[in-house]
Amino acid sequence: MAARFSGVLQLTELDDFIAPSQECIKPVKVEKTPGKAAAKIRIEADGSYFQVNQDGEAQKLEKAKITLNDCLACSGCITSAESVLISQQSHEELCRVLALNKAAAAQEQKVVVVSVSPQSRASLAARCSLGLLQTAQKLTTFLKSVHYVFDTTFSRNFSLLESQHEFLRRFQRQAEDKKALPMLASACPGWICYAEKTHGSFIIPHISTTKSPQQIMGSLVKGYFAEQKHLAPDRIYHVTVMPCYDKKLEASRPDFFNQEYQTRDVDCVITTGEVLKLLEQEGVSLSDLDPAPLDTMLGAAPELSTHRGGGSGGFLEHIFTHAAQQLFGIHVGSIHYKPLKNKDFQEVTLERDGEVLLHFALAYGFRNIQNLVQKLKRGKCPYHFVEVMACPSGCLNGGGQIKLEGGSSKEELQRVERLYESPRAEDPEENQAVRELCEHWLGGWGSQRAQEVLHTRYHALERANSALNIKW
Amino acid sequence: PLSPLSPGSGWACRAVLSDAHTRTVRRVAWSPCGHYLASASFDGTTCVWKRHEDGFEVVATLEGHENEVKSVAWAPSGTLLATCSRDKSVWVWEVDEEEEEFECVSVLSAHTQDVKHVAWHPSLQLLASASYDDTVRLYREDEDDWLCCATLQGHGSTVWGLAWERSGQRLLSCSDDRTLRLWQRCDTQGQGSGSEQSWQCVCTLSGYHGRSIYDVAWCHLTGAVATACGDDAVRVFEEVMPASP
Repeated sequence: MAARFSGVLQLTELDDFIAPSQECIKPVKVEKTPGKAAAKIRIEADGSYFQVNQDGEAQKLEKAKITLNDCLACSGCITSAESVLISQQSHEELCRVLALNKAAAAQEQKVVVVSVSPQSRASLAARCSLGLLQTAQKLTTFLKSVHYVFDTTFSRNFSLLESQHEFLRRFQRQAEDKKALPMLASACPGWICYAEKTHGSFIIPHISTTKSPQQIMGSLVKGYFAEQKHLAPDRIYHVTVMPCYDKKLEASRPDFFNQEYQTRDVDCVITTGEVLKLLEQEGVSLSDLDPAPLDTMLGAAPELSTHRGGGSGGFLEHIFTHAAQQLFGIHVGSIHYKPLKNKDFQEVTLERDGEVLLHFALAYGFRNIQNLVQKLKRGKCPYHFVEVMACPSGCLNGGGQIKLEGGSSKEELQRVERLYESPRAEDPEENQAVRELCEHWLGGWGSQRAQEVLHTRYHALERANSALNIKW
Repeated sequence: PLSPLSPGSGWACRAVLSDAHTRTVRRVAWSPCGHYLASASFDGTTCVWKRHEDGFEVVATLEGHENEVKSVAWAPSGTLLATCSRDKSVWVWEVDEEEEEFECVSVLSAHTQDVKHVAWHPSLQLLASASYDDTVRLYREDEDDWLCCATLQGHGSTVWGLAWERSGQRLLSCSDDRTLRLWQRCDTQGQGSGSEQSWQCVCTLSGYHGRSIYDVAWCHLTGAVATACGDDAVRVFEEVMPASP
């Protein structure tokens, strides 16, 4: 079970031998009236606990409860909690919800929306030996018992554009704010969970507050889309299809829970592999299905599009190009990546007259994240921006992608990459639908709503260091 | 009993390096060149000290392991260092000699439990690790990363220590199961397309030790093997060559 989360997440304190009471970093607050003297605890035959005071008065003690979300964030005793999570957000859960929904009364029924990530689509296309557009269209047919099937490439436009804006703001205030740069990408939840848990308040100021494409999609579906359809946000059940399991953790973050309507922006995340399981369960082969026209949130989408800059979203590429133009008036045609120690650590530089204007890097995989953070701690990080991803080779190689048979894993990955890059690359700034939504619904990039919809925050997790934690 | 070998004229304590670690220091190792000393600690860090005329100075602190570091070992080349921890992982670090900086080259999570010891092959860039999961694992470099190329199974309990033969042909492991196991590679070089190497246990020494065997050392000069055991004894083994016909 542990093997399914990204390597970065796994390495955070997983141990089968810890007693939960010692390692749990989520101290549970139980309502208790403070007593003057020590009390005795009596355990009843039915397992309930009673606190017996000195005067003989017995008070039943409340059972300590920890929510699954708390557990997952902590990873202190995740080994058994994991399997609960995985079953709570899985294709089985989706089937269950769909069945329930079908049987429910009309006014109770929810509108089910599925947002598919381009990485998952490429992985499915490779596995089913289909072209990308065909895969998208046939997948839409397969998921017909849901109401809408969207593409998270759309929300990624917002993520990329807002990241560009955020970078410029940070770059311009670097003199007054020592923590403004380097800016570190925030789309990867494996990296975020690791950063919050291991490096906490030191690194959090550096992490971009722009939300990931998944979560922006969540805000758009439960916000804009809900409004368009005259639905309350809790009447929509939003499912996303993602290349990894870490995205399940991201969806369950309290920051992405809408308090007013008591609904999550993303209700359920299923991985590419789980979609395959669904297909197999139904005995359906994707290639046998008829293609259906693609859904869009607004506007017509005649064809698929993608973004430049690799399978992890292209954050480095877009921020670099935009900054070069806006800060230095330099138009960058194509970006040259220079690999460093290994292929998952690459540099990009903008120079003029021998002066380095912009210095960016890609750091994928745990060892590179380690080296990056250590350099940062020693004040030796030369970069303005780093695209950090937990998985070696990026999202196309996520833990939830489909493992292809035959051929080396390198060849398989290249096949998925080629499929991923096959559509026309679009510049987010040129997307009409994005511009319209921004103007009419967000009220402009700098608006209050834009801030709410496009940004989030992070929380350092404090760990108790006590002698009890030592394992000799 | 023999009289003790000629006593030295005594030992002097030259340095006490007490400010770098905040918990037990579990292992120390001199670099092949003798200029550096690595110390692995339960505080999760490994310090690298440089030896000067008048003392030692920390030139690097290797951080990253989630919890107690159990062992550290220098590769014979002097440019690589390996550490292992209760966090089940083995890390390979590379030193940039000029900058005296260490960078993590690989994080290997092949073991399923606490890793107790790491030991480098005497001449090749091959690393062995011993774990609470009862196995010994071997790792080698593959393009720009490292991978686990063999898993040696056979011990019935925690493997505490490792020792390579001088030639590097064979490896000894000692365990909580009170046995010593001798491992040898059995596939020929370049055989097979996979990254897996085949190693076999060619000899098991059991019945000699009364308790867990915590450490084993293989002398590269004489070929003698010494063991440290929980039954309060040190044992020395020698390979008995078959009599010539």
